[in-house]
Amino acid sequence: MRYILLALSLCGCGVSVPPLRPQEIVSNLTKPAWPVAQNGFSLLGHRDQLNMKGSLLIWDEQISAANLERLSKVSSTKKQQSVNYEQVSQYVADERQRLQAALPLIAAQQQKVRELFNLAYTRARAENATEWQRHQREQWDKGADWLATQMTELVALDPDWQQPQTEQVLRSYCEGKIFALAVSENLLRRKYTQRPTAHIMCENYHRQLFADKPACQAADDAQGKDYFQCIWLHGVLASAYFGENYAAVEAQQTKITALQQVLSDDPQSFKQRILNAYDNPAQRRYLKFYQRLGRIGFGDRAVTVRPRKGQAFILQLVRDVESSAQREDVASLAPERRIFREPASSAEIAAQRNILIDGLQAMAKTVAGVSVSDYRFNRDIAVPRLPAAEEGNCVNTGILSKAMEFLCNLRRAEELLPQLLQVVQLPLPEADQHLIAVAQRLLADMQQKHDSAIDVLEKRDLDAFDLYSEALDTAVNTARAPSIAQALFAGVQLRIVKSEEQYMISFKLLEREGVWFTACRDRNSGEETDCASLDEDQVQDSNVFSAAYIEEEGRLDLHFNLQQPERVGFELLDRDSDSREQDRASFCDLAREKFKALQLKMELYANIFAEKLEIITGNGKFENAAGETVYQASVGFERELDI
Amino acid sequence: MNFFLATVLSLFFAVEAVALENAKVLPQGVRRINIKSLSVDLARKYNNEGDLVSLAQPLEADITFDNVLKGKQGLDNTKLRAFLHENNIDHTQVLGSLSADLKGSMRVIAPIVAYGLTERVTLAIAAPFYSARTEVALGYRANDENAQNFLNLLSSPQYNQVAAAREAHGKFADGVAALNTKLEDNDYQRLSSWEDKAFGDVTLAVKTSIVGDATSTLRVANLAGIVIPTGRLDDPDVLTDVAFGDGGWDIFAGLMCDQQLTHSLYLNQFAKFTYQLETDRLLRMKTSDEAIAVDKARLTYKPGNKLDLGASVQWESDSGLELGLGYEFNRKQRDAYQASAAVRQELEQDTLTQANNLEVKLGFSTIPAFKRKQIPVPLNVSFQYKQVIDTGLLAANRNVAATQLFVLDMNLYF
Repeated sequence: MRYILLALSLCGCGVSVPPLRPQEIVSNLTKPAWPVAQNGFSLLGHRDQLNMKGSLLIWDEQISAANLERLSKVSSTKKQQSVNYEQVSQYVADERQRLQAALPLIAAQQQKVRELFNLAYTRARAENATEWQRHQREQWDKGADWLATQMTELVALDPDWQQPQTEQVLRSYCEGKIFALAVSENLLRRKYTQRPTAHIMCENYHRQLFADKPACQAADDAQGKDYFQCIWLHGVLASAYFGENYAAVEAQQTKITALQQVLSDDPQSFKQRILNAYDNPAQRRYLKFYQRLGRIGFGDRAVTVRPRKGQAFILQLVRDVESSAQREDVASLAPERRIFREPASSAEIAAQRNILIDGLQAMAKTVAGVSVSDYRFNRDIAVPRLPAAEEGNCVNTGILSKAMEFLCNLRRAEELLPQLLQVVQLPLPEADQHLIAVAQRLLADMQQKHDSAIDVLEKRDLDAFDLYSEALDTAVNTARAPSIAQALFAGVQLRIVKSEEQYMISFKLLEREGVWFTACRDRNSGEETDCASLDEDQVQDSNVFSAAYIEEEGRLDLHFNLQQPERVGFELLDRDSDSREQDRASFCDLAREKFKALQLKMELYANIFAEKLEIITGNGKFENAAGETVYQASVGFERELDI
Repeated sequence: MNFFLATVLSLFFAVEAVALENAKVLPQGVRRINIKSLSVDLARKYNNEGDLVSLAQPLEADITFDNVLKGKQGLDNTKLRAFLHENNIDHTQVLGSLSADLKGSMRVIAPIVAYGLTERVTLAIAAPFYSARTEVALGYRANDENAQNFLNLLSSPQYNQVAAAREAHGKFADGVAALNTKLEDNDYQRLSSWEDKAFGDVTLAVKTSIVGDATSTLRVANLAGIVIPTGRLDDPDVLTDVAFGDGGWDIFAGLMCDQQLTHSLYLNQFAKFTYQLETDRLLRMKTSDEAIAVDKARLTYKPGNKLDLGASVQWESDSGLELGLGYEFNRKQRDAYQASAAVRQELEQDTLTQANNLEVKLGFSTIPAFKRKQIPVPLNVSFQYKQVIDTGLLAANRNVAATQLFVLDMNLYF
């Protein structure tokens, strides 16, 4: 048998297969490069710190392809609008600078008028200075009292007006005016003989804030004084906006206290920071934020709380007043011009409403940022401290061409000079009245055109912001729709700080709650290491959170060990809860038990969207102990917009 | 998806009935040792439609997004479908094309021992020994335009799936490596050469002469027996291996008739039916959607029964020269698996086999001389050639290798 097997094996040896046709592998595909290499961009680059904000979405496994595609599209649109907003803001900043470059020309014209105007004013003031002061004080008081009277009557006649809420809206509006005043160049650059009013209509409210504050008292001499500390310390920081939204959070309260300290001890350093912001396009958004609060009385926040009848009415009034070009003197606010004397028809209400608008317009005419007396007699239109303008600066294109054309071709002041020179020879009060009328019209025209140009820019800026906000809302609402996600954390934050020795990577799931989980890596060895320093709200616990940053790939790995999911923030979040104002877009249908003992692994990559917006996006997996993926997530961060 | 399984199983017809049949039996007490040596190359086959195709045809395929989608489950599949739709990419777009050549060679040594129990009954046992080798060469050509477009989109800032795009690049640029990786990920062996030697199924047979004898002008014999499943089974993790058996017991019976036309010339006709008993095998649960990323399971199945029919004219001269010319038809019915409909449909397809064979024999026998006492040892040696042919008239060849079989047949009587 052994021989048989051997023979069989030998016979089976050497089985050879016919030659095969040669085959080859042909490909000219280019391997996608890491964006950091492809675009020559570095996540941190020259920066030492990067703050990003984004979302973490846990997918519903049953999501349809159509819904996924829809979410992808709205997410992309949101990013695009963010980029657009960035670009528009930059454009506006550039245009504003070019516009300002033409201002010296205007200033030269204005100066000629002002010299003549002051000549007449000096004469008038010399004769009856006290009378002018008294007259302005009367107008100031009359405006404030008139509004108070109207409000009282409105409430008495129409209980639905809900006086407390209405007053709250007005108070918000007046606070907004303080914010606008606080960041206005007038307040920052000039001195006043009296505390400037943010808005005459708000004086009753403002007096409560500023009364008995030494920083807010009238100046001791005619040179005037700086009211920056007054407006910021006793106005901005004392506002309900700061009190209600920031003081409740201990960490924020600490910062406010520090801010108060700075404003008490060294307000000039803080002022300089704001002035610097005017020269820095990126930082100017901070100013825009506060200015925006001033424009519509806390903007979207006031509107989105769905004000009751009275609140909505007041808000509409305020907008009408601010958008109208119609003018009326405060003096025309006679007591008999009451509104809502008795229950009226809708037509009568409309008529009465117009009367109220007229009155408010009259008060609004007293431009924010100057005191009444300053406005009438010593108003100094902000003259930027820029190099002397040349005619060439007037060459402009684009949307501002009309405004620039006007500003550059302004010759009317010179045309008016003969008239002005003539009238100053007239005796008072005839000459004074004539001169005031001419000068005021001219100054108003110039200012209005300048302001219009600024308004065009700001409107474009705000429109872009609104489009971005709308896209953001659409993206969030799409993600919140049924059968899309099991959880959405819409306020996730990421911070990377680079020092010579290490990277510090911090992650926070909930915007308003919880702590920053932080991990540090040695930049040379890549090893996890103790963080050199931690803030109070930062926690380093390698048993819970670890992170790694691979610079050449722009790759960021974040790893959570969810033994205590609630500690990170993974627990039930009601989809419809109103209790979390800032995080109200977030929700989580999964109870903390669902996350218990899972590992969350995020693999994120940096990129630049539309060559402008820095993003870090990627996928996340919740894995169980066996390494099986229980939930899949998408994570996306964008460089935080300064709004 | 074994590329050789159905093809090689069809060779069993050849091994069992590799010679031109006859109704002769051994005289009582006479023993015969018969050594058959078969050699065959495998390169092409007839498919289920009867077309002659390369054995590598299953590998020569375009890789489309549909293929990619089939490999992704759940949310990953949904994500890809959404991505393709959002970017107006058709699922049938080709990302690359695989090309391949696949060939095999087999040698079988089949010792058969027969014994004349009576003047009319002969017992026989056959234990074939297989040596087989297969080789495969794979090629790939990427569709640069489609694949690059996909990669660029995936890695664009809009999606920022750069890591996924780089991983996909590796697959799109080298489909062969991607295929092998997928195989390995699913516990298959990489596509490569394979070689093995082992015994096949053992056959026990009884041939009984029922009409006539060696001198009669009409001889009729029947053949009956069993096949014992001792042969090597197909390894479900190896796609290029060759099975030496189907794992089941077989019972066969047949009838053969020799009609003496002249002193040296006779006509043989035969029919043989093989009933294959139900058995089980370890198999991949492949479906039409996915053939690789599937689990293994032991399935009960019933191999299709086989029918062999043949006719030949054979000339045996007194000088010992032997010539033969014959035709043989083989058919095996479709296998029947006990599995889910999707798996069953995939496993059972292409299991019906059908072949038309032309046989030629040239041999020399010392038996006439032995009978004349001129040579002390009775033996014969023959060379046989058997080829699957397209008749164009009869039933088409289906699911069989297009083989040319060379057989060296040596018999020693004592």
